[in-house]
Amino acid sequence: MNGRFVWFVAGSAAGVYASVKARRAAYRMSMPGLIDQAAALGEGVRAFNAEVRHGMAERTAEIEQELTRPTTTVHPLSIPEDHRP
Amino acid sequence: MPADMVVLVATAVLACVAVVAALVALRAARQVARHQHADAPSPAEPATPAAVAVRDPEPQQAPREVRVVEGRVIVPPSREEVVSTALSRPQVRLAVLLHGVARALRPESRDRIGALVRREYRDRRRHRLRSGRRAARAAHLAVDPTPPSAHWLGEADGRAEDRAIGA
Repeated sequence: MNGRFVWFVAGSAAGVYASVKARRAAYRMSMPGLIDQAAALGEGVRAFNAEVRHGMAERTAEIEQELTRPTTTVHPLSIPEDHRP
Repeated sequence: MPADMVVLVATAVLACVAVVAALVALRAARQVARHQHADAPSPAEPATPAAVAVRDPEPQQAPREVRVVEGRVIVPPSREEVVSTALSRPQVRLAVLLHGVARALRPESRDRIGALVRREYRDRRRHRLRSGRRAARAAHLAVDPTPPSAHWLGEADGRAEDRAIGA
């Protein structure tokens, strides 16, 4: 009795799971589903572009900082001998 | 007059005009160079091939010294000009772009963008299905104003009978 009940519940759960998955796959293949996928992909492309631009701005700021950093003149003889190149 | 002859004459006229314009421009450039040479303060200045950008340790910019070397006006570039020139070089731009792409392709960015796409698709699907159900419900109510629960409870038939009796 207990075993039959377990099998009944397992079968019902598998049926519900399979039907949900099949319905979603059918929706994915339909025209509204394709439109939704394209729209979501566009959102992802926009997010990717924003991330690229953020990285570019970060790198540009780094280069600017590197170029505008004040430099000091060091006479070669003022460097200790063991640190000279 | 054949058409190829017309084209030949037009090309010859155009070439003459171009040669005259080039001669006029060359003469004007020589005149300007001679003029600047005469106005130069010290003729014994060393001829430097190009301006050299020197980093200035002071934060405030010193006034730029304009020099005329061999009839050419040489203006030392400011720090902003040096930076903008360095950033506009193709190699630097490519390196900056590659850094941005590498940042966007990091695992955390990939995961975030993938999750964003999945969430967007799920939200759109839910919204569309909900709208469809609402539209179907509205269409059904327009045809049959009795709520579905009345059919389930068996009240719809009684209401129809009442309506028939009232009519």
